[in-house]
Amino acid sequence: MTRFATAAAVFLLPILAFADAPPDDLSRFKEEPVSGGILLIIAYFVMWLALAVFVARTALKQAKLEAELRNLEDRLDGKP
Amino acid sequence: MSTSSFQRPLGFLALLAVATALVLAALYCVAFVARPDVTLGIVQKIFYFHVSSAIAMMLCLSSGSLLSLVDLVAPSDRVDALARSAIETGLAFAVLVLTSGPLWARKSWGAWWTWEPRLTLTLLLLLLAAAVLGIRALAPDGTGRKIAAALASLAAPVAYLIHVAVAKWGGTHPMVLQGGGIQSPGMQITFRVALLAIALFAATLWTLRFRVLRLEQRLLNLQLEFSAQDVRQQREGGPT
Repeated sequence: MTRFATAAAVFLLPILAFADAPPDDLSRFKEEPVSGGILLIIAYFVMWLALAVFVARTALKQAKLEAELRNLEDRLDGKP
Repeated sequence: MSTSSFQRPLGFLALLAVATALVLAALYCVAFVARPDVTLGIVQKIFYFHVSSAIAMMLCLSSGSLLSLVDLVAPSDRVDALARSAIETGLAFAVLVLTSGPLWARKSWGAWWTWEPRLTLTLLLLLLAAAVLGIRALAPDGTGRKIAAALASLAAPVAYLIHVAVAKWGGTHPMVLQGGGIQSPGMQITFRVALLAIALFAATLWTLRFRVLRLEQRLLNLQLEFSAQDVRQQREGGPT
């Protein structure tokens, strides 16, 4: 989890380099050449990929811990 | 306590199944029920999961904050695991909010990032959660646990400030939910389904992380028990 948090911070902080002053009012709003559809797809892809990786890693860790626990319990009970 | 008590109960699998079904329903609604916004276009569809994730982030981190406070006053491994899992889940949603937000902002505001109050506070909350988990990773028990819990207790006030930031200090964020709500019925249904889906998904993640942390605690206790047994056997078998 710490590696996840560090990676998140490392990947997110460079975004701040693109920081800009907020527009004063909507009249200054300019249509960007970036396609909204592409941004939408990237947003949803990144969100669900991140969540899937988070769930998969946690589930794998849980399975590993359960196996370790069973092993230790067997050893404590004196089973071979 | 045996490991069987940690094996996946039916309730958890049911929760996971319902959360997955709701996420799929929400994605269907986003694609086919909600119409693109007249002003912002198709990119506005980021709203449904962005705002839901932000609400999940604030709820998880506020819960983690209050539980940390409880753990600080009356230390308990169970409460500590509940608090840490809430903070981990909240951090995951904070990453989603600060990933989807700039993508939407680029199109709507013409900038990836602005130092407006709500955005700055959300970044502060993310860094706060990351710091809490970092401290716990470096110093899992004793003073490290207390410092992390004290730091985590600040998350709830920050989450509250994020909630009231636009009303109090303005900024580029619109006041959609507090300022009259969503008007289109299709958008309303989609937002409710997405909010429910993300809330259930957050609960599932929280449960999953809580179980892993409890397993880690149980494993550590068993390892200590095993070492103690080993020492006893060596003493009994060794020269007197």
